[in-house]
Amino acid sequence: MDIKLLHDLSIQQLKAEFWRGIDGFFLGTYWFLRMKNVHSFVRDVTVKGGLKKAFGIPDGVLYEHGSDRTIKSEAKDKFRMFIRPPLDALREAVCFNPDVIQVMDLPLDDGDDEKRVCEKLAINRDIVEDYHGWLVKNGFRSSSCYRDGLPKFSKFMLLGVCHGDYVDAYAEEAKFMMKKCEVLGVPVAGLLTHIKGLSKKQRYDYMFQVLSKVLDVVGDSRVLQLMGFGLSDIMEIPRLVKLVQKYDATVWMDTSTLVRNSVHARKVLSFNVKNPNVVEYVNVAKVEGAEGFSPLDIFRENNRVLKGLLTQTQLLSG
Amino acid sequence: MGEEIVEPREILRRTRIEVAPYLREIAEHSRAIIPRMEVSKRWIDYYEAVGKVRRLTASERRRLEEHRKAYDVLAARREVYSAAARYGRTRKPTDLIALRQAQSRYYEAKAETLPPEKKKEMREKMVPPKEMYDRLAEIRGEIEEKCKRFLGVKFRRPPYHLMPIERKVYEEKILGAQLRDLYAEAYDISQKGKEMSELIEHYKEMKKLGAEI
Repeated sequence: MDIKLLHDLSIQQLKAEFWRGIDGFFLGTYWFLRMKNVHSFVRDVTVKGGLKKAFGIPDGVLYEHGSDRTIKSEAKDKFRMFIRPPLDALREAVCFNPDVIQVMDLPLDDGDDEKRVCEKLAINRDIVEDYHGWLVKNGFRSSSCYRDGLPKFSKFMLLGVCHGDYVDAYAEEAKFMMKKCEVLGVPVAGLLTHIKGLSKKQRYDYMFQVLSKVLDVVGDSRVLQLMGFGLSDIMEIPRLVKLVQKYDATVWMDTSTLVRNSVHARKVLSFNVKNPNVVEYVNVAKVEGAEGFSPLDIFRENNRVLKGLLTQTQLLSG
Repeated sequence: MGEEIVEPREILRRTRIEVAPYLREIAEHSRAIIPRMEVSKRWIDYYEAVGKVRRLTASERRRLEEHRKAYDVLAARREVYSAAARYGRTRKPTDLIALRQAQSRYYEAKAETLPPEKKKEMREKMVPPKEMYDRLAEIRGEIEEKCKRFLGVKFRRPPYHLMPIERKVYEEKILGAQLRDLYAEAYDISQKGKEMSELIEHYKEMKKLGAEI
């Protein structure tokens, strides 16, 4: 089993060398699409041979390129789905020369009826096929495949997002995605925040049900990425580690909560003095020895502590 | 004691003797990687040793660079084969990731063998057209402005709070239509995407043909 932390970093944070000492990072397109000279930025990065080379990031740090965010809308308007065609986004992603490219996807809304859900899932599947086809056509992937469907040669890995409206739907999507994608994403953020009328424990229970079903299908053959699993509740780590150990799976976790707490809220992960069994984010002013920490110091400290917690939990559970 | 200075002619002779058995091996096995790596390594050592005695000529520097690039490509290819074999045995995702990263390094090493102008040209060819970004930025600005106005009208925020109800309904309708057109334009900019109806049709056809979707 293997658990890696992928941090959601912006261009400014990459310039400030937040990438030192981390497993990997995730760069969403929203960080640069709003810049004034997007085209010249994309061109510069391309000519330099990719984002890693442009920023001097070592090869060992995993770079995952995110896809465009779709526009959320209640209107049943077909044009409100993508701000630009998926293949254009893919072409741009290739210019950044990442390790993993996230396939553009349509998220499900609470108001979607069954027909709408089916349509969206069908579109997601088609986009995966289109991405694969484009990469093969342009010589980035080979057309010859292993028995499990993965191409024998590929310059880029693909991250396919598995959406669903009930537990088995996620597993079905994973079954399809695993034929073309090396990394499978489960959008757990929505499961933990958007379900109304459920307690926090019930939400986590549901999320673990979904993960178990997906892991039943995927097993230890693909990497599973928990998208938006910011670990806002650190106390859920042991449960997650146990599940991962059960399947001997490889899991990557998005740590948006960690970045948000480090850079904006300036909170460090620390033990509660009154209750030593609880680990939580506490403002630097309240933590002894952390008063003068810069956002970068806080980020590195939090990353170190979280990785330490994960390792310790693995050792204790094993 | 200082290092013994060897004449370039002597270094060349020694290198040729060292390279000869590997060349015989390559003649027998044309796809062998390790002897090719050894040959490149010996020539790199030769040029570096000669460089200590005298200044390298332009053609020697070019050949040294070529040998270095060839060595990198061969090392990357060897890494790909070993990673592929490991993944074939274990089928673990960590080995799959290692394989993909090795393949990526191989691709990069191969790209480095291209002349710089061609490499730059190839990379620039991939950059999406500037017009697309410019038009998208314009549309985004327009959408933001219209959305702000739409919300102002809908929730009767100042300066739209005194607007009569008929005017409010009319404004909402007009702004909604304009927004829809803008989104449609943003979508259609490069005419490469598929519309939802097309995608659904494609999905149905695939299903009819018995594809596992």
